[in-house]
Amino acid sequence: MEHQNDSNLHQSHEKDDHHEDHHHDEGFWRKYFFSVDHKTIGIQYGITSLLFLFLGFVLMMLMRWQLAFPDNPIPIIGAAMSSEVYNQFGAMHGTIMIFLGVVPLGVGAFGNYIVPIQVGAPDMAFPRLNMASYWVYFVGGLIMLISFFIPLGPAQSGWTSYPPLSNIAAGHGQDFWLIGMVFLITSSLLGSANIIVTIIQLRAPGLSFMRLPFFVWAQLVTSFLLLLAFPPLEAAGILQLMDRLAGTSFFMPTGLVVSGQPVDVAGGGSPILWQHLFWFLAHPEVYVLILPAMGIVGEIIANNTRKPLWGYNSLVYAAIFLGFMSFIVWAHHMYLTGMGTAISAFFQTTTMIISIPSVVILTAFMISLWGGSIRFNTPMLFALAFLPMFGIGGLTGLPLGLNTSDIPLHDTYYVIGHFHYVVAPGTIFALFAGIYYWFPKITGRRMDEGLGKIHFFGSFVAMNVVFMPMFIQGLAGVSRRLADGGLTYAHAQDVLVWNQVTSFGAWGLAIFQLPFIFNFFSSIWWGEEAKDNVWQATTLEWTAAPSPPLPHMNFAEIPEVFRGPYEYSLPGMDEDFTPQNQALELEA
Amino acid sequence: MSEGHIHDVSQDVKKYLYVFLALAVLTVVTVGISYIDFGLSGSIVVALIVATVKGSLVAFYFMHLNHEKKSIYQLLGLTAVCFLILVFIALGATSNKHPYHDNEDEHRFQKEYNESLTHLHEHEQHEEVHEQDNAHSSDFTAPVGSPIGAYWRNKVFNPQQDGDGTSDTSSGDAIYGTSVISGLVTFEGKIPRMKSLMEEMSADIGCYGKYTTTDPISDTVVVGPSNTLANVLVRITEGPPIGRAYKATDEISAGRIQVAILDQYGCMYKPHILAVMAGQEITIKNSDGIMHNVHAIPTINSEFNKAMPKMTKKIDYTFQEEEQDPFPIKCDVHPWMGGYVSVLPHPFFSLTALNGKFEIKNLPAGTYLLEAWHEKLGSLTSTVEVREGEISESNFSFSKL
Amino acid sequence: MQIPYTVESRPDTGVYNGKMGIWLFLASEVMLFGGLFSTYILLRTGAVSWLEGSVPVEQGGAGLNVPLATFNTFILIASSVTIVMAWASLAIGRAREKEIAHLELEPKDIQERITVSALSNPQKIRAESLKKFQFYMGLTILFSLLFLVAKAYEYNYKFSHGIYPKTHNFYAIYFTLTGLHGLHIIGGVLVNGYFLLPWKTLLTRFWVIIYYLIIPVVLIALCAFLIYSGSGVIFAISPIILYIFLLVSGLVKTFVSAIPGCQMWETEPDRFINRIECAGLYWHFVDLVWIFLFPVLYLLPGS
Repeated sequence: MEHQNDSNLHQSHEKDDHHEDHHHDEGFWRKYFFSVDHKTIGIQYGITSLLFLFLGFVLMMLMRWQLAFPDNPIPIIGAAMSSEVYNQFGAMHGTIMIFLGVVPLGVGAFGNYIVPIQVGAPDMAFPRLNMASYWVYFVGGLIMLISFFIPLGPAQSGWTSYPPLSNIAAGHGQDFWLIGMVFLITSSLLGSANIIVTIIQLRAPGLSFMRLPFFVWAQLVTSFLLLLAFPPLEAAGILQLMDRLAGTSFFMPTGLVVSGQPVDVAGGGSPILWQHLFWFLAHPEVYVLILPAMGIVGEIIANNTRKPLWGYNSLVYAAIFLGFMSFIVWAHHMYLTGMGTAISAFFQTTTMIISIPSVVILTAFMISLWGGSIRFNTPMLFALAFLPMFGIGGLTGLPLGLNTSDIPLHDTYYVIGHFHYVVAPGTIFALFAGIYYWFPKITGRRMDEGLGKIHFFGSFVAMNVVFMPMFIQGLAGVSRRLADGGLTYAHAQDVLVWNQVTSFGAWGLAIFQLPFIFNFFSSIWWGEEAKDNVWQATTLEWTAAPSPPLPHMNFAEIPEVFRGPYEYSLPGMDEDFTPQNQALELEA
Repeated sequence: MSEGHIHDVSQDVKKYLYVFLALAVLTVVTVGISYIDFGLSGSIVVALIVATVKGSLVAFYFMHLNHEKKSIYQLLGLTAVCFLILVFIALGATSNKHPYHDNEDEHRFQKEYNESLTHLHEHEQHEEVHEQDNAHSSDFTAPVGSPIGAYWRNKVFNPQQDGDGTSDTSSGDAIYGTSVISGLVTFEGKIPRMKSLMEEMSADIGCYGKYTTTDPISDTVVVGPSNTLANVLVRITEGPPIGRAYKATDEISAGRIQVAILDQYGCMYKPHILAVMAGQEITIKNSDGIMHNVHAIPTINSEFNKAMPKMTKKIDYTFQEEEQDPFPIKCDVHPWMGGYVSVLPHPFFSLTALNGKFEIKNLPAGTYLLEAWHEKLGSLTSTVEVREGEISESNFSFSKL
Repeated sequence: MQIPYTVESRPDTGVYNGKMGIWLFLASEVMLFGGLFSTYILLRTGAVSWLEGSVPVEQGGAGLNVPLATFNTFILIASSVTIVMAWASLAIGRAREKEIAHLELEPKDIQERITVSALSNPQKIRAESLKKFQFYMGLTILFSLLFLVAKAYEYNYKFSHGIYPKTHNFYAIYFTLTGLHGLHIIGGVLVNGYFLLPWKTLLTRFWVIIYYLIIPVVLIALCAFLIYSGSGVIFAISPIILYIFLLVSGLVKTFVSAIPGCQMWETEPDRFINRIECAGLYWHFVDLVWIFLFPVLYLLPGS
């Protein structure tokens, strides 16, 4: 009321007031680079993170050559990979894939583009902050890229950057890494605060919390994880920078001798402290990787089985519980540090508990398939493949959560196999599913189904060829991070052949991405035109907004929501889907 | 903003002033209290209580938490829980420090720790005695578990080291002369008997198979006839050439230094000590024809670890940066295999053979500080003056440390 | 279409977007400083001996300047009061303004209306409350700059006596915590300074001179130098092309229009009050961190 009076009072200022929100005659830079439209920013995130994913993949393919044929010159490049370069590529592969690839794609791109439309908001709550968060991420990525070209190369102490190794690493690669991480963390903080406010504050009228699509829930929990778990790593990064640049000893123990020389520091610090601060972030980070993926899979399964998600409430509570529990399991990455029995018992218990919500979510998805009239289109195939692949990843994680079985398995290829099953055929398959699913919404055109199926089946086989042998090697005791893949170890001789199998799998995987890349670009211009609600879905982004949604406002008018997110195949309806914004009176 | 702010706010203004007074008083209190001795934990508790009261005043009145909505409280509750979990890290990490849990083990740990402290004190005294003639002790290893950091220790033991970096940084072109410093390195005292490696080698026929007539003897201290000492690196550390730029390729083509070859034969390094210039290529050979790996652990150069399976006959490697001290090189497959590599910025160095003789040629006239280094016996220095075209002699005599 | 709840509160959550955003940000800040505090606890419990802040270096302490830090504590508390007063003066002025506007809409008593409007017209109240706000905000910034000066003096004193972060773990955590806190103060000064002045007008006024006079002169000089030094015409042209490109794309216009500073008080007063409230929340948080840092670093006994 008062606000209205107020506008009458100062009508002269009203024009000025609204000027900022009219963007009809914006310039080129403003439209494509420094846009504040969440859709443009989402696309910027998407393109950048896909490029980084590709770069991380290329690094890995080069490393696979070194592992398959140690010290042989790489074709085309003509030189063999030295072990320093191998270490650098290994560290940067992890960093790029996780912090610059998967998280920005899952949270930055999909979170930015889809969440506001799914909650019926005209934009994110803080559009300029949104733009800032993308550009901070961009600068962080740039710093990581530049570190490849400095003397002595980029960081080489693994993506976990354990001190004291990382503290004494030569060159400035590690410094670049730390500064880059500070930027990436800042970007994540800005982005996640924005997503939380958008979801809580900008929900359309009638869209109560229990009517939110599961994807939005997943993004909400993810954002809370980013918001509260990332700052300790920022603190740790600052401390490590102090150690490296100002000569402090936060992570440097007393009496450290390197290469026979005592290190010239005050000492008294603790390398374990870094591990605590790092894993305090990095375990929630695992759920940051997997929750958006689960959200995408939930959307696609409900849509393509033409029935509601089974156990929506339990899914939501499981996601919340998962998020909370992820804060108290971090030390299961650290059994090898020799923690006391009481602490280790605590973390083993919480680790076993956290598997329960994951299983609840997976089971709910499986049961959702039961009795559905399933459409096997490309997004659905990827979503379906996610279930067993994530299952393998999750189940192989159980032995790693228990102290006694973790100690022989930790630092072997078993661990690599485990988390790659979660992230690569797990999360990345779900992200592919999301790209195929929302591509018509973003571009107004569909991707080609034939090429999509080639992409799917090829990738599905290749992924398993790549990662399954790692379990065999790991159980044989082959250590990870060996530049020669175990060539010089007697116990590794019998499983060396799997190195080549894995490598050919990886290169095969690369070949099967070609149809996707071709499909992606050709469909932008020549794809089959798609209707606004091409998948006959129920959620707001399909039912209330055109494809692509209107610039700067998404909707012609803010929709009102009357029902839950997955009202498929309601009895007595003409269609097998009932949009969230369809008024209740029409049912009668 | 919500309705009815006018009443809230204009009433609050007075409150703000009271809160300011309360905060000021509490600040005085917390400073005053710090002069009273409550014991450590007492002081922490008192200080944190006062700080919490002050913090709550700020949060409730200045940040208006007193009339804030439920949603903000929920968020703060969540943050508080995560904060407590995070601080729990410190507890977890400290309990990590003592892996022993029952009392007996704890006592043993404490005893070992105390012993290491006593050891440290002995070490300190020992160091001080040798302080004058052995300032740059190169094989100094930090006692494990010492409570004082290496930083302070170095400050105490090597106070002059601080100014070291500035001493000889003037650069210039390479200079040469015709002077020579030569001499003899001997060993004084009871010659230690080196153990046979036959037993350790017995696992690998590629190793012991090479010793049909002789016994493989450890080559850490090799003393020749008439007590001459082999494997001693003699180099100049101060003098006219120091700080000038020498290029390894030029030195080799002029024949002033030799081509560097490190061979692995009979599971030993030949030579045991290798001295090269920065930027000089080292050829590492594998004459054994069995699996070795060459693992160099330099300080400044990046670490180097190359496997040499039996088919790899030779690899080439170059250390680009000079190293102040020789660094170890070892084979992880055969733990007894060990040697040292010294990477120097100039060509003025010499290694003694079994006859204990060394000779440094092509020196310009001047006063030199000469350092003789042995991997086990430490290093000795002496000052030598040499005139143009002449030969100066300087002898070193090592004894057991 | 506007983004909802930028000004008014959403009924079911009871807050506006900015307030929720700033509290979320503060939550992450709590975790950031939490990480550092837990580092402090760990270093301290793990250390064989720990320095006492207030004891001079010669007597085996850390030699921190407690009187100066106490002064700084007062200053920060005072700045918290002034910033809350800055916000309150806006809120009170706005509420009075609304009351008067409300009175005007009821044509009950002509006489009363005339008296009221003679005594206080809304425009005047608004201008007055802005002045008050600027006074208090200026005071806040002054206090924060004083704080920084005192801090810089302390740092300089340490450095000149050969005390660096690497000297002892006590100093390591001391410099890290106070340094990060100092960065937060600088950030606060920037934000508060942004709200203090009408930047849009100021920049439009001066920016024109910079943009149409100084930049072209510099560029022409650069081109002349490039041609003179024989770098070729191609290189000489490129800065001019860049300038024209900037001019055309209108980046400057966007930049200027995007930063109203305290001019928002004229266009969107309620939103401006919200912004000041958020800036205040951040500032109080910085104060709150110092309230804990002060006893922990300066006053606790050693061991």
